[in-house]
Amino acid sequence: MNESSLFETHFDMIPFGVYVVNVATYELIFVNQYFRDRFGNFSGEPCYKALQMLDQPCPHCKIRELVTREGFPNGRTYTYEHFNEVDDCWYQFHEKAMTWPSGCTAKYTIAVDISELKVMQNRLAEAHAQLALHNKELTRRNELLQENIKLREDVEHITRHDLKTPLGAMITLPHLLIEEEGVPASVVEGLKVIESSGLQMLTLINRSLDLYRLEAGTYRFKPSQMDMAVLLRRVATDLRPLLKGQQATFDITLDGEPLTEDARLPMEGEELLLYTMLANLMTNAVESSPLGGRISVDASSSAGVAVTIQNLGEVPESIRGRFFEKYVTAGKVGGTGLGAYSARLMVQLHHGSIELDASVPGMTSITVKLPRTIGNALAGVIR
Amino acid sequence: MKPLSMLLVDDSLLTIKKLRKMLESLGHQIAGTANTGEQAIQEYKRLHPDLVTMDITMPDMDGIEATRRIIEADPEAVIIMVTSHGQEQMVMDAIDAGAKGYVLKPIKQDKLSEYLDSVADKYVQPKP
Repeated sequence: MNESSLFETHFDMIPFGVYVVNVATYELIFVNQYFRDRFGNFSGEPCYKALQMLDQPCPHCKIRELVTREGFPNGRTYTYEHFNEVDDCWYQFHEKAMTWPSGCTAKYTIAVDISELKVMQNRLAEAHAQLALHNKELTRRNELLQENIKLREDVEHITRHDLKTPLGAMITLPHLLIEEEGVPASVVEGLKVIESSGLQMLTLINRSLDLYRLEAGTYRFKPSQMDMAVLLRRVATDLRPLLKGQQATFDITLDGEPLTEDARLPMEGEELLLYTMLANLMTNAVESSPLGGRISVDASSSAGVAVTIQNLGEVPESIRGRFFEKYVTAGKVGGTGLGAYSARLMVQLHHGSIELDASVPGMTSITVKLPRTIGNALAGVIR
Repeated sequence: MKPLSMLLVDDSLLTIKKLRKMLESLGHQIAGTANTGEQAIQEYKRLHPDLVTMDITMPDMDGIEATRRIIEADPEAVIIMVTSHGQEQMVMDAIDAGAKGYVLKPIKQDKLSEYLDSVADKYVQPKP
């Protein structure tokens, strides 16, 4: 048996496809038994024609990488994966140059069929593509949603401004008419109701404008010295009509002691905003309590200023995680989903925090934490 | 399945031949074929097919760049990659470029048919 036959016998025993190519002519010198059984014997043909059905060397051909400039084996081995269009199979190729017994420089290729292995890999790649497409679609929808929200907010903003103009006349004219002589008392009374309703509406519009500015980051924050104890008493007094309707009571304490007339808890903040914030949260607590409920409001001076409002009644589990998000409301007649949301924006403007605790069954507790001092650095436009 | 007019882009004539056979047997019409990226762009502009199958490795310009340029010219173009390249980054690049699908070789007729159905339902606009 000559040297060439020894190689051929050896290659025939390998349980994968093996072929040998003359690197100078691309002629197939040898094809082993495994490939002969699969494709027939195509020795003598150019490798690119026999294996790839091409008219010129394959674009992925590695022959030039395996030989020296003079055309001798350089000792390198190349391993790569390739899909063969002819038999629709994936192969892992191991290629190296050698000196064939006839004296020519040849490249031998061991081709391992990895089609089954690639099935899973390809499914994974296709799944990546599906996921990327879904993500792209979600991003597009999200952008559209943001655009719609912005558009709605702009329309709301314009509407609020437009409402203020006719309201000016509703507030001013009654005042002028009352001052005229001979206006009957019953008419004066009616005019006063119109004036006061107009002022109330103006306050509501101004508050909603504040909310818009807070959201847009254009609110001009002007903190000053104020007193949380005084503010809590004022809110409680102003909410008396609501308490009466619900037959509810406030149980207000400062550091655990009942809040007295002369109790003080000084701090820096924007009083009107904090008034609105507390009024929103305390109104929510009253409205969410059963008839005759007691709402506990405890202010604490231990770390900054903390106010905890606690009431009977549970926040529905479905909205707990989104309680402070815009338009989130459940189970409340006439609820807009703006009270807790605007409270959060106002607290954040003060560099404070707000948390819902629904861990005790049947109870709702909201804690607002605010810094005692804000400092000059925060004055101005703050998002 | 609604018959679609298609442009097949691949530098392998064997792949084009196989795809043509499969797609025609599914009732689709092959409006044209292209073997290079540049040719694919020209043929798309000329033929305005419902759908393009795009290879990734081509001699002059890769299929991802060709996809990007076709989408620039027509954002509604529906292009699916039919390729042997399954690397995650390449998949992401193709989707970023605007491809609406990614099918890996070997191409099987039933899989291709199902895939084309779902892509056509989502993206192919009825012609006036």
